[in-house]
Amino acid sequence: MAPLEPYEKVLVDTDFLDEDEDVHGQVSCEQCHGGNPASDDYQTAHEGVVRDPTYPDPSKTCGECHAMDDEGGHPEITGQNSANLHVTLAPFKSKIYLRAQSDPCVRDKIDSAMGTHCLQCHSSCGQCHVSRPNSVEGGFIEGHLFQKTPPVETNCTSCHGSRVGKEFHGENECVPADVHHVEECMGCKECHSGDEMHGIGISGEPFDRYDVANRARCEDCHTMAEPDKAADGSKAKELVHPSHAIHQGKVSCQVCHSMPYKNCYSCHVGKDKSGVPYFETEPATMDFKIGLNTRITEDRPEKYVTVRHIPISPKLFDFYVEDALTNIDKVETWKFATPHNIQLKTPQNETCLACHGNNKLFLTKKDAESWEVKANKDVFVSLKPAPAVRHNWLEQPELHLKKVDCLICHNPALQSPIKDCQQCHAVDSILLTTAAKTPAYSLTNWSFTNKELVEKGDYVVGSNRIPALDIIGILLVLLTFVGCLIHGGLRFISRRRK
Amino acid sequence: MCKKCIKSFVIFLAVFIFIVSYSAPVVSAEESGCVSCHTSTKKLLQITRDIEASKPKVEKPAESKGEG
Repeated sequence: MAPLEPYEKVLVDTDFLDEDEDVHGQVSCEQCHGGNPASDDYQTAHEGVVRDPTYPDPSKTCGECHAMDDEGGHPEITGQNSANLHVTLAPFKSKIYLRAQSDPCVRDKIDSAMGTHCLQCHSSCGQCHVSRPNSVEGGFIEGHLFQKTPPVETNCTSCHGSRVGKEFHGENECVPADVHHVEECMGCKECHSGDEMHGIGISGEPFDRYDVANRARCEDCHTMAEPDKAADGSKAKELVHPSHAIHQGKVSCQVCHSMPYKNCYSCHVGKDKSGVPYFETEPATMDFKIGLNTRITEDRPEKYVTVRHIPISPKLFDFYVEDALTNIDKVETWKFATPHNIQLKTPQNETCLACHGNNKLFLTKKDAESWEVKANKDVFVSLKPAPAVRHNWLEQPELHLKKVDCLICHNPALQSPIKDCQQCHAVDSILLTTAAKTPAYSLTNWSFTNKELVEKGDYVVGSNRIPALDIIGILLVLLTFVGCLIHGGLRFISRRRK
Repeated sequence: MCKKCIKSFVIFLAVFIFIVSYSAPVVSAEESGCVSCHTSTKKLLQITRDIEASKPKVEKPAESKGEG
């Protein structure tokens, strides 16, 4: 996003002064920003001016009205500002501290480096509802008119652009935009409510940003189908595919429905010869990895989740202080992720076997550098034997896996998967879906029983037969015995005569 | 007081309140030095050009590489 021209950044729309357009325009400028409005000289007029009067403490500005419950249903927005994750970026710091030395001198230098580089991306009331964030050089969103919902392009993705923004809008090569964006024209606010945006951590000391209360949940719209319940006309979309019943609570939604997403590596920060701060990262890769959920909670019980490599590096702060992150193996570098490029059909959910047995989708030691193996030990997936090996109790397991739909045996309606051969290889095979069953045995019946299976190209031993051939076979066997008896009898008679 | 006087007074009061309430923000806006500058593209262009010219040139971090 290109920055605004300097004059555009501070140009106030006259509509802002119209009470009907924006009630905030009725508050005098100096009441929030300070300065000297009586002066004609811009330099003296701006003495003491506060560019963003809402950061770090908005209690004297926004808090004058928005500290208590309001009609919009956002209780104490500014009251919880000091714990708002968008403002404090607390999890960011707590994760770095977990990896850092405990030496206070080192921590001071880390704080200084983070203050220069990492913590510039914080937000504030003003940097969401009035102007673009400072990290993208600021400037009014719409002539100082307050925006109840911050615009996606100027605000949300100006910070969440490299990964989430590009994923959601389909800006990564060969990866389509998120289906919610394309099909339903959804933006950020449709899932991420104001309560979540103003949210604080669930726990006292939030461990990561997913700790936020009122987080977006797929289940808020997508509910499991209830066969006996008629559609109630709500926006909820029922999940009818039987895979949902099988994987619910075990696998996160993104594992089946996310496309490859961006992974970043090896960030390190410093200052150039002129003292200008800079950062460098290795080229990002587009990848898709399933790892183990290291923080299983009641709210997020899934064992398998999508994980993204974060740009942490042991040398991250070396410019400021060497060997600062001596405990880098204490926190995973492949981190729980919720990619924003959801599709109904993805390469890994095309068939069951596109995921089960497809080892390259799962995060293993091979995917980690030597220094991060220990950090990710709880994220690595122990690969299971190939499906053909796990099904080797079957005759011809490969053929079964190729020809039989997994959901026939692994039917979610059953308490356990089918392991009885007779259920398929029988006259009344469970593979049959139509009422057309076995025709009566008859010499004139030259067609297959359970024709449905044969027509699908599947000959199932024990289920498919041609009755006329059966009778001919039986007759042939009987005739053979009869022939032997006649032959034996005649030999016996001829011997007696001799 | 006669009815005519009361009627005239009420009309006068209504017109007065209408004019005062309608024009209040405009007056206050026009009186504010902040507003007169920050709503004028012409003034802001001139001032921001002066400010930009007087400010030391801030180098962009040429060494930054990759995505943040």
